[in-house]
Amino acid sequence: MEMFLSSLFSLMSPGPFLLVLIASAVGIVLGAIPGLSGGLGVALMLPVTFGMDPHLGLAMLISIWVGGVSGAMVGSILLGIPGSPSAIATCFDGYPMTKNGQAVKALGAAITASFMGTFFSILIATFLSPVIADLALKLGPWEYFSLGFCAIALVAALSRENVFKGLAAAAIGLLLSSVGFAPIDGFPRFAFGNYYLNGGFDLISLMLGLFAIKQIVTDYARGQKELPPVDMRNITGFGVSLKEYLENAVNLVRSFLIGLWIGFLPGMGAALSNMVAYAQAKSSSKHPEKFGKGCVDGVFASEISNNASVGGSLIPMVALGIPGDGTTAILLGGLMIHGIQPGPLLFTNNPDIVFTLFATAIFAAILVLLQQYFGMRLFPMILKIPYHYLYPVIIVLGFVGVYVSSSTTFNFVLLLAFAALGFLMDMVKLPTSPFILSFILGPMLELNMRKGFTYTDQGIWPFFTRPISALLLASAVLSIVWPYIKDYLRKHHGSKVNR
Amino acid sequence: MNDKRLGFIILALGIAGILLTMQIPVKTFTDDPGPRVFPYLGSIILVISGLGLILTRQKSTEDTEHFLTREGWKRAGIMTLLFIIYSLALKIVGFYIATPVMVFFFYRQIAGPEKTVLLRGIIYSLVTFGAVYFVFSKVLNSFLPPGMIF
Repeated sequence: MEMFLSSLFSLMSPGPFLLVLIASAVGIVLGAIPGLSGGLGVALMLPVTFGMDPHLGLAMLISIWVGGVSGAMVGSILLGIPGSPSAIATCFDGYPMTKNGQAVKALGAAITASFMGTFFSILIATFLSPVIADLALKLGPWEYFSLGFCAIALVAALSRENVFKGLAAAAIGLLLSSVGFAPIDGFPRFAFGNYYLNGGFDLISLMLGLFAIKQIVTDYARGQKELPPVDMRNITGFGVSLKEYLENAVNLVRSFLIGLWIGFLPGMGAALSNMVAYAQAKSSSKHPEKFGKGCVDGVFASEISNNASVGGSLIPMVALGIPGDGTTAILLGGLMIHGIQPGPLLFTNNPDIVFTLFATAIFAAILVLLQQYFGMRLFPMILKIPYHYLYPVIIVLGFVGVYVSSSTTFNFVLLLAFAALGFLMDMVKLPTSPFILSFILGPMLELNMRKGFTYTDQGIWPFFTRPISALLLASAVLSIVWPYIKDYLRKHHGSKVNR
Repeated sequence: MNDKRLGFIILALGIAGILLTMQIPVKTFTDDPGPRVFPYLGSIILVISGLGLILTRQKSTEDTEHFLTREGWKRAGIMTLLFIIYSLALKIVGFYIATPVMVFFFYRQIAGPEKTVLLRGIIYSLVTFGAVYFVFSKVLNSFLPPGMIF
């Protein structure tokens, strides 16, 4: 607690304060603009942290992320176009409210719900993560391998269209993560004599290729659409009464818990939680017919749940070293680049880093609340920033970013190659989340897998005979095959009924 | 591309992965399975995924021919070409020349002829170049691409 408070107070000195303020504002802008996101901002700013103190660098990345998740509601409410998938459900009632002349009320509800979601989820993460990390210290390499494998399988199983596409993307990530020196024996693999590949593929080039360069090519190829004008007259206050908050108390608590839990599960971040929370709010409401026509309950549900996923996804990232979603995967990569190993030992080896992370998230949530409240009038201007001013900056930051990470122009080749890979994956509808997760977790998986083999004389068997490991592997297999079993059972049951 | 055709490509990638992995010389000690085991795991998952895509009947999905229009492919090609030129320019003439020039071209290309304002574009390019130079070189003390000929 003492360390948490000391981290929080250190953020109030002028330098860190200004950094968190600017970074969270950048996050809001990136989150608000359709097609961009806080995740993109985190990827772009990752190379900037190389020359910074790790605490400050991490504070900057976390602030962009918090601002990005919160800012995504701006486009949803004012234009009916979500800034990112985390605010899709906010469109359902937020935009009708704007059309009904209640833009301020919708924005007010979204801003306060976003704050509550981030603030309380981070508080819970601060107290829960050390407990989970303590438990995780009792796990051996078998359980760690199975945990990582289960996380990848869960993400693959969630692939929208086809579980095999998710699995294929994960397998490509695993294969690419094996390029370079192998763990334990340091044997070089798949480098084909290329000196630059001996250390494996550069993580920054992969992130910026997949998140920034590919996105720009795709958006430019599809053509940027002019966003419609926004009427924002008579903006004062939050527009939501205390009575409305109290009437939504159950809705807020339920949606918060949904967001926290979904954020905690690997691969299921804010993009899913807002939809689930919205559906639950509608089905439990006394007036479900009002949903979709401008009901503030829907905005509350969506916005508190997507922001609660922030704290939820930080718990496995910090305590177990398993990222909850794409953005936490980048953050995890950022920690590793600074020589910090996420996982249960983080609390013993770098407690200052852990508490900086939590303290910044809380501090950024407060600053985002204030910036959004006082800057509400500027929201339409954010949505008017032309893409021809945004994209060239992102391109330059992408190219310079991959160069400064290792001072080699070979990274330009990797940047373009990963952008091409991402483009191809989009084209054939292979999901990128399992790919990134496998690429980042690959070295940890391999190390624990090989340790697991060598720690006993029983070879592969402890992976299946140790209870937790067996349970995790069974969950991984079940998550992959369950849709097919369900289909079979439905058909079988259906045919019996027909007979 | 339909799922079956994608399945065959993924299957071929998996088999190629297995063949490449077989060429890694085995150096193991004690019970360590060695550097081959993990790439084998990845390749086998690829093979299973490829077979899964080939053998399972999937709901018809949107054809990838609609991923981009003909004009869209042309625009993607132009942007890719600009990226390649920027990469080469950074390598050959370095950040100080390549960046202001290429930022202007990126601006002009994305804005299109109707929205391009020459003077505004030049000022924007110089400001972007200056800001990136200041942050990376002066504030963070990072090395920027110096180029080969200067």
